[in-house]
This record gives sequence, structure tokens and C-alpha cells, in this order.
Amino acid sequence: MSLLLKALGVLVGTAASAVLFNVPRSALLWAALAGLMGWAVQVRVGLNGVPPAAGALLGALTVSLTGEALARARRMPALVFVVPGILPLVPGTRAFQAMLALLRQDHGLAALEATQALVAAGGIAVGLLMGTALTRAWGRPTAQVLPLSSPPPELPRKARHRAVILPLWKDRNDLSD
Amino acid sequence: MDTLPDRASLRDVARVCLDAAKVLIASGAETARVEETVTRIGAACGVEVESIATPTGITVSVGGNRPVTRLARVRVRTIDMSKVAAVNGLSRSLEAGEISLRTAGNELCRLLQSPGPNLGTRSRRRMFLAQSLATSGFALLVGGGPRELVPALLLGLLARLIDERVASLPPFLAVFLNALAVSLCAGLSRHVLPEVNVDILIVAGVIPLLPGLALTNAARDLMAGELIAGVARGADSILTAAALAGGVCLGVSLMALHP
Repeated sequence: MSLLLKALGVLVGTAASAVLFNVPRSALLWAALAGLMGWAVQVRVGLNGVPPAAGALLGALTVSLTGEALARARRMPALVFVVPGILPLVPGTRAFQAMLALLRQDHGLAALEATQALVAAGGIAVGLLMGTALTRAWGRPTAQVLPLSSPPPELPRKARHRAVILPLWKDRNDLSD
Repeated sequence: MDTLPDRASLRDVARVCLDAAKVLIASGAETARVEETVTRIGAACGVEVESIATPTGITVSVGGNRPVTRLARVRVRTIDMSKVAAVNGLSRSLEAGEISLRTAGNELCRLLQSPGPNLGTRSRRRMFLAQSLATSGFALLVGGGPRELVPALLLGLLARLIDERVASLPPFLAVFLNALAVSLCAGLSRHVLPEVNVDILIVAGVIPLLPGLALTNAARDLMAGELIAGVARGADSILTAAALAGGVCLGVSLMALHP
């Protein structure tokens, strides 16, 4: 029940942040879906005892791959789906707890929470990197440049053979045989 | 068209390329996309285009032997995914030969001059609604219940109001002030509604301020081989996160002074 409530929060939060980033209206629902999938993967692997950082990595990887697939299907930049989609993965509560512990001068707890938050944030970054790296080669038509300008003129053979060191005293115009 | 392209048409291509790049950079597209779009526009017109884009500007060189080279500096950056998608579609249809260079240029001029998402009353109302919905959605995510929903809605409205006021300040300061105000107001709400969980409100209130775009762009640019832009955007996201942390820290410690 509480998970369902959270999933609803993820959907609403991601879609609303997508509006804040001015994502085109036709992509709003898909962006929310990408966010929901990433978060669901993170929660699911967390239930199996995978550490939070690895969960964040897998979640971000899911968001990134979903975004790239949607980008190709809907002919839009992948950013449109990925940027709102990673917001639910952010370890906000941990970072905040670290800050509170720091203010209470409980440095041991602060270090513990901050490390976990930082590693989870790094996991998101690495997940995004992996997703982008995996999909960069896929189905992306490269721009074909067809130059209209003529190729550089070929040097006449004779002139090339002339490239010998000329004596300094010789008149340079006197090259014709 | 088998002769050398004349200077005037090269200048036209350069202008369109530069305008497209300006719109993309100012709306928060990744650098690799900017350079790719510029190359595509050039290819659609049959000329070679070389470009170097950074998060703060672009240099475009159009034509092979005697190129026309122009550069533009981009000072104001916002997040506007609609414009990124629009330029993306424009370069696609230019490449497919569906529109002419002149049409594309006019459309880009319109995009350059159109106001950002924060202006205009209707879109302004939409932004307010979106931020309050986002805050309450994230309040549910970080463990809030029905009790936190209404305070989170109000907190989102307030964060948006402050966002509008501080938009002209340097980005670092703007994020700092916004985080400070959000944490102060969340703390004050405890006096009105004693049973509300303040921590949940603060965390939900600052999630929309997080540098998600900078982080995503850093990853994408680094993987595309855009080392300078990738590292610069990584630094940008770290700086924004630090400003956010500083603002929340100050707000929470101020509230602790006045329990």
C-alpha cells in the first residue's frame, strides 16, 4: 500500500518536474513512465538485498535505456525523458540526514550518511554514463556531408619535381628549363 | 550546383547554424547534440561545417577552402526542453528536404525571440501548479503521508515564487537563496501544524532544485568525447549541489536557534 502511494508520488512528481523543464506536452506521460520504471527497478533490486548505490546505478541505467528507446520511437531528444526521470532516484533523504548529523556535530553518523549519499549519487552518474555508452552506436543516422566545393587542386608533377634547393644567387624566376 | 558555393550563401548557412546552436545551448541541450545539429544543417545545404561548441558559446566554420567563420557567446541559460525538441525536428526536416533553409532560419529567429517558459500568465500559472504538484509528489516518495500533502503544495508555490524573484541573480546564489527559503518556511510550518514532518517537507521542497540536467549532460558529453564540456558540466552540477546543501544547512541551523 505504501509502495503504491510512493509509486503515485513518483508518477506525479516526475510528470510535474517535466512540466517545469518545459518538456513538450506529448512527451510528459512518457517521461513520467521512464521515471517510474527506473524507480521500480531500484526498489525491486533493493528488496533482493542489493546495496543502495548499485540500486541507484541500475535505476539510472534503466531510465537512460528507456529514454534512448523512447527517443528513437518518438523522434525526440533523449534528454526530454531522462532529465525528469532521474529525479526520483536522488538520495535526498540520506543527504539531508547527513546534513542534520553534521549540524548536531555527530560526525560519525554524518560521515556514514554522506558517504552513502555520495556513492548513490555516483551510482546515478555511472548508470547514465553506461546507458549512453551502450546506446550511442545504435540506429543513429550519421550526417552525410557531400561537399560541393572542388577538391584542392593537384600540384602539377613538374613543379613537385622542382622542389630542390635552389642556389641562393640564382634568379628565382628562372625556373623554366 | 556543381560550382563553388558563393560567399553570400555560405553566410546564410553560417547564420542558420549559429542561430540553431544558440537556441540549443541556451535551452540546455548537450554539447554533442549542438555540434551534430550544426553538421546536419550544413550537410543538408551541401557544405562542410566544422564547429566547436562549449556550454558558453559556439564557433562555426562553414565551407571548405575559404570558410566563413562566425562565433556566438551564450550568456543566459535556462532549461527549455520544448525548444531543444523543436530545433531537433527542424534539423531533421531540413535534412529530409521538407523545408527550405529560409523557412528554417525564420523559425529559428522566432525561437530565439520567443520568451522562456516563465513568462506569460498562462504558462506562469502552469509552472506554479507544476512545482506544487512536484513537491507534493516527492513528499509522498520520501515517506510523507496525507498530512504532508497540503503543506508541500504550499511550499511548492512559495519555491516557485522565490524562483521567479531570484532568476536574475547568478545561478549559484539563486539556488542557495531558494534552498534557504524552502528550509526556513518548512521549519516555520511546525509552529502552525505541529504534527507535520519537517524533514520530509524540506527534502521534497529541494528535489526540484537539484542539478539533474547538468548531471545528465555531463554524462552524455563525456561519453560523446566532448571532454571540455563534460568536465565543465560536472563542475556545474557539483557547484549547484553545494549551493543547495549550503542553503539547507543555513536554514536548518537558523531554525534550530529558534525552536
